[in-house]
Amino acid sequence: MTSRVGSAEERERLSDAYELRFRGEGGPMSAPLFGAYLAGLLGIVYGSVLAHYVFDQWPAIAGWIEDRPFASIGIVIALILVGSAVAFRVGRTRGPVLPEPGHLEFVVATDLPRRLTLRDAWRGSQLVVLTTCVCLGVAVPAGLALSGGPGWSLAAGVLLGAVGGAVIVQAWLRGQACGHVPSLLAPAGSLVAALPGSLLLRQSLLSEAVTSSLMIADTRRARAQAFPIALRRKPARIPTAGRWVTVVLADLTGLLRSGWSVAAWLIAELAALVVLGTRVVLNADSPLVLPVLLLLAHLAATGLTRGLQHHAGSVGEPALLGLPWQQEVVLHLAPLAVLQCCAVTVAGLVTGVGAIAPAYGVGVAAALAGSGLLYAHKEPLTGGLMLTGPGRGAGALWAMHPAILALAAGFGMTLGASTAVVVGLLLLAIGYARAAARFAPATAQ
Amino acid sequence: MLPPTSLTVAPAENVVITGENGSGKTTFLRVLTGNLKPTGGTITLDGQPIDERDAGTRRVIAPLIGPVAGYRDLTVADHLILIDQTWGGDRDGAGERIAAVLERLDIMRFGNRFLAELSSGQRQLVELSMVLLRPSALLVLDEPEQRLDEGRRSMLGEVLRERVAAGSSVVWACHDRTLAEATATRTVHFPGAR
Repeated sequence: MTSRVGSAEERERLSDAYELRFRGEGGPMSAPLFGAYLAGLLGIVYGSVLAHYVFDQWPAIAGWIEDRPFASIGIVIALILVGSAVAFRVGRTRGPVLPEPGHLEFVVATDLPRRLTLRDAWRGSQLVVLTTCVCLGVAVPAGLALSGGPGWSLAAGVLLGAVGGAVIVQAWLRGQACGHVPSLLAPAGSLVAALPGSLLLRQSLLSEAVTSSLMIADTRRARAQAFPIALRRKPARIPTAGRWVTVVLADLTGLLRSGWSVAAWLIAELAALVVLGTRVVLNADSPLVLPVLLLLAHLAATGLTRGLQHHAGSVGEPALLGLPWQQEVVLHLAPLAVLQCCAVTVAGLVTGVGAIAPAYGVGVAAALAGSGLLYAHKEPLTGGLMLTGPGRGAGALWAMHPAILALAAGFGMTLGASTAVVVGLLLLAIGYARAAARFAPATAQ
Repeated sequence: MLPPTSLTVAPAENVVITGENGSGKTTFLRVLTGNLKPTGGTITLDGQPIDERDAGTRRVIAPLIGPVAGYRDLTVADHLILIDQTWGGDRDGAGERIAAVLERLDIMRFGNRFLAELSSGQRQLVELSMVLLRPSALLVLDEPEQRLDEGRRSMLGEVLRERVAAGSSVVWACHDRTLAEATATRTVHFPGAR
């Protein structure tokens, strides 16, 4: 007899498969349990301390909550509804039922009980979302209570967190199932079982690409997989504009054909650089702000250097274009470098940094050009998440070394404008040296 | 592995290299274009060393060895415009030059397609057009007949004969004996892999 969650024989087959998959170390719920543990620890311990600090610094907020309990609860409910809408939309790209690569094959390529296999992924997502929301529901009211706020808020927070978490995770599942099931009002178990294998495979690979890209700060693979070009021919053709300008226009044409993702990278790039160039950041007491902003600018720039990355991808093959590689690299990088330099300089001049603002602009542009060269002239990550295999620690460091150097340059820039120029040029020199080494002809055996 | 090889290519010569798989044909072509450095011996162009990074070498030798790493977001016409302009073509005559090479290879109708939208045979012809468009005195091609149907192979032979008649040289590896015999002025056979 088959029960709702599978027969004993099915469970035993799945257990054997898990034994092979995980080799006795953990199981499909290990990662969600660790995630929930981290969310609980960070959410409650640090969240309540942070909330306490906020309510102490701005007591008017605590007073407003105390005076208007129903309005406060209404705002939380509105936030839950907005969160649910966002979760529904996110589900179309990355749903809660998403077995990781390795585990995913159980669903799409074996005859193991599908419903049981997917159930574990669904339970894991539920656990993480519910834990996170409940911890938020505990941490914020706890901070409020520590600041002398009302005690009832703690009970309300726990209740709203639990209900909100359930609503959000259900909306997330329904977003994933949207278009693949007859009715979104069906029970969660039916929706989970009805998710098609092709959808799970696509979302899982996409998620793995994005996650690994975030971990190693290398967006190339994720952009290739997550943001395919819309096959539009707008602009219709590259203008013929001479030997050098045509290369720049080709880059621009390629970017325009990449759709809205390029606009997002450009906004992120400009936002990071404008904030970085302000007086508040350049004179900040904390040495962390500037490096983090430079790192963000570096990551966003990788979405805007398609020509350079293509050039790097063809290293070792006979060159197509009639330009030396140095000229081609300069043409790919120069427009972006000018934009970066101008953004930092203008932000500095407007916010009162003074005559040294252009020096920061030059230093930042040079550093980002150097880190771009480092990215472009090494192979993109092709392995799985976490670089599984021997030497993965060194492999991870190697994969993320451009970002590490960008971060290090950011720390150097906190020492002053002249140092910013020096570290920027140093990173540019390192990037150039790496590129020159990659472009050297190989030796025939 | 490349066996000891000695070869001199004269102007307006069409040299076909034959040999079984693994005999070193592609390696030789890469050495010939300055894309690989030989571990022994020399390779020269008018007495000067050959290096693919050198502007002088690149202006004389146009290689098509392996698939071209094209831009995924540029069309065939975009690629040809980019190649024509970076090789110093004048702006006004670009359209005419590009149309001529597309017409000659009978691929004019693919000009507005992305490379990913082409079949393997169509892509082979497009890649050939990219090499034919740029200025060169020596074409170096690695099995350009691959993935082409019989009619297109004949056309390829005609195109190569036209290049030679215009004074250029061609060195190419080929597995099609009939095409090689009908096209080449000289055949060099590489011994089998050791």
